[in-house]
Amino acid sequence: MHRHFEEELSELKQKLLSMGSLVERSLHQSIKALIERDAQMGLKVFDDEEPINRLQIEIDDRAMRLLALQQPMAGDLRLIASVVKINNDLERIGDQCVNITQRVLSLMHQTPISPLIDMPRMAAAAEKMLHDALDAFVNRNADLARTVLESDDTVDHLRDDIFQELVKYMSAHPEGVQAALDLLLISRNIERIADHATNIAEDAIFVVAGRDVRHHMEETSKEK
Amino acid sequence: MKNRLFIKILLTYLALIFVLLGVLDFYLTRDVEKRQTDQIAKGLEERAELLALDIQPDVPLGETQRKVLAAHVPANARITWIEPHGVVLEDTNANPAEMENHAARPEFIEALQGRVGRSIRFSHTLHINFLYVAIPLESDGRIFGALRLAYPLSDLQQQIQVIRRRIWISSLLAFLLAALIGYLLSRSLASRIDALRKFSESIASGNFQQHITLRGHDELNVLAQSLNSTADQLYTLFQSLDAERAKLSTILDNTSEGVLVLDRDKNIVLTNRIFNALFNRRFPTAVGKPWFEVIRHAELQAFIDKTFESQSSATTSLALHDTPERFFQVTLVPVGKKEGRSALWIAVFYDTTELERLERVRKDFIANVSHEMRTPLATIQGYAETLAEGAVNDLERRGDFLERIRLQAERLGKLTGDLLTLSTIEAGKYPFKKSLQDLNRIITDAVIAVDGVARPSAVTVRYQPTVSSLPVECDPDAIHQVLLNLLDNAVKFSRPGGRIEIELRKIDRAVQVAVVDHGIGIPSTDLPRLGERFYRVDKARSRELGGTGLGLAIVKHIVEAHEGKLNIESHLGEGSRFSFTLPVAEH
Ligand SMILES: Nc1ncnc2c1ncn2[C@@H]1O[C@H](COP(=O)(O)OP(=O)(O)O)[C@@H](O)[C@H]1O
Ligand SMILES: [Mg+2]
Repeated sequence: MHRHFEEELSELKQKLLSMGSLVERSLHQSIKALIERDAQMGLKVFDDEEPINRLQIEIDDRAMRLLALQQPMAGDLRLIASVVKINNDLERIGDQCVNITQRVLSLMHQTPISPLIDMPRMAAAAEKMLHDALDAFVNRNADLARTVLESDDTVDHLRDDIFQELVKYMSAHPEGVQAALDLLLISRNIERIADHATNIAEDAIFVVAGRDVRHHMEETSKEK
Repeated sequence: MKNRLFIKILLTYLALIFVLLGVLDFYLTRDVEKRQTDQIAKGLEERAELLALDIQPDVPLGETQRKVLAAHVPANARITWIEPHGVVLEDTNANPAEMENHAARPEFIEALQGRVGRSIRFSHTLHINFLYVAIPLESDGRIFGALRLAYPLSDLQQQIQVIRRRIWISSLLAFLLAALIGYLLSRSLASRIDALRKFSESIASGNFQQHITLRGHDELNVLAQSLNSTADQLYTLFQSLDAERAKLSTILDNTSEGVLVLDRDKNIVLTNRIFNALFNRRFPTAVGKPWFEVIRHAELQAFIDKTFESQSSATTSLALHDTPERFFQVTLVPVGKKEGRSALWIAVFYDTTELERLERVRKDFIANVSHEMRTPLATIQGYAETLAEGAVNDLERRGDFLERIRLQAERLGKLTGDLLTLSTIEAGKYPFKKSLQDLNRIITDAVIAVDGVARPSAVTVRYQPTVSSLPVECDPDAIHQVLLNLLDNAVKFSRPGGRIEIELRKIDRAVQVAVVDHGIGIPSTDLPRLGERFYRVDKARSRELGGTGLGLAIVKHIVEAHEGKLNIESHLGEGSRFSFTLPVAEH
């Protein structure tokens, strides 16, 4: 029965990482659609929405089943709990990608604000945060997870800069207000994505701490 | 645990000695006892023989005879005369009338048959072993009774006790000595075996670069010898294997393709340097991990899953979400098929980024050329048709129409001219006429030529020559063209009233010419693609300004044909700096 549990746990992790790769792809594609004004790219993001939602439900179901049927001990319990949380964050990132793409498509009907200002930099930073947070989770690396927490500030700063620039732009170019508003909302979406990546990094740290606790318990129970 | 062998050997040895000593003790004491008893019995028999001479049948003993018999009593011998029916007739120690019948005594029965009877019995009254010897009393061949002598064996017992003690003491000494020898022997044996065990354990753990030497010359030494040569052989074997493996991993790490090997459960068996650089930069020790922990790439995951299911090789192309984006062709091949399932899977990642880029440039080029030509052609066609349909006779508008047709034709001419220049340079067929030229003069000419474009937007171009003449080896028309294109761009992308500077700098044996503006600048993501044909940051704006998108491509090619390099630096909103180098002619 225990062997069975280990297998199911591994499958759960695999599903979560598949989910991660799908969401990473969505994020990349939505950003690419924005920077390259590529509607085709944007449509791909919509294609991924459905599989992401389905995978989220499947992961949730699996996690709940494991919790209910196997009653895992401390370490595994932490792992499953963080899988559930990360799963949730990933799904929300997926939603943000869809929002970004919708605004990108709306932007395409307007004359472009030629410089996207710092948007590509901010998007790249958020992408890296998500990637690193998942890396930290897979490799149980708390240090890497901590760097993600630190990058959140960078993203917030960039968002503030973008906000200032866009406000300035809007007052100088009344005809570009709609486009500037779209960009503003997109910067908000990216900021939310960075927040979710931060949550994932926190969960990664939680799992690493949990693993230590479990080790400790194994040793004490051996001594008995 | 560690000394079990030693203790086993020692205990066996000691038990053996113990048993030997026990057996020795048993036989020795029995032998002594028997011999002593025999001797006493012999003495008693002889004495009885002598006494028997005085005894006559049916004649009671006289007084002297009794005294003779009684004289034996102090020598511990009790003498009894028994008649054939077992009735005691005489006894030296008791009154015969009170004594019980002796017919059942074994020594007596023996004697009545004419032999010497002997027996040892325990006396319950005296709590002592007695030796009885009875001889027949004969007269004229008729047995008329038996004479029995009894002798207490208490002395003998004591004697034997003494002997036994001696035996035990010497046994104990022998035992202690044997134990000591046994201890030393088994300890040395055990320690040698232990040394062999340790040696073979360290061989098993992969340490082949050592030898064992044992004291002595027995089978253990032979074993040690053969273990030594085994270690040697393993060492050479592993060395060559190591060299093989190092060679293999060097080859793998230096191939330009990424390599990933998975086992049947999709765990990672091997990765090479390129693969790690692609997917696993941060945690390069991926071996043993499940694939899904290392490859987090939706398309690749789907591809691997599908190919594993089909159990046959497959190829796919995919993009890596990296900056700049990279493209790969991945081939996954199963190897070592067993029972329909392959044991290993080898994935090779071939970088197609450059191919992909060229392909895109080619496609873009065709699309761009058609697109660029369509607008002027459509305009020309439109006005030509209008004229044909009667506007030729409209004297007022005819001139205007023809002028528009001429403008578009001119634009087409410029486009085809640029394209032609570009393709002849690219094909290496452009007739560069290089000669010694004064760079100062070429620059001054270009500044004058661009004045007409700069004036309407009040842009000023500044050039202050630092030396009177700067000789370079070049095609003056081509370099003039380069400067014209750069200055034209600088003017077009400057804000009204902006300033443009031309800077000269000497770097080693080259001179660098830079056109610096303070205009709108270029986003950093566009910089690498600038210089590609038709690549423009903002297509609409470029076209509006009468550009073809070919200027920089021509510049780049001309500069490269002069063994120079085009370099672009730019900050968005702050301005750009386009510079190129030319080799200085030395005299
Ligand atoms: N000095 C400059 N400042 C800003 N952008 C520039 C500058 N020079 C070139 N570019 C960019 O590079 C593009 C390609 O230039 P070029 O090949 O000369 O084509 P064209 O001038 O016909 O547009 C331009 O469309 C513009 O976007
Ligand atoms: Mg130009």
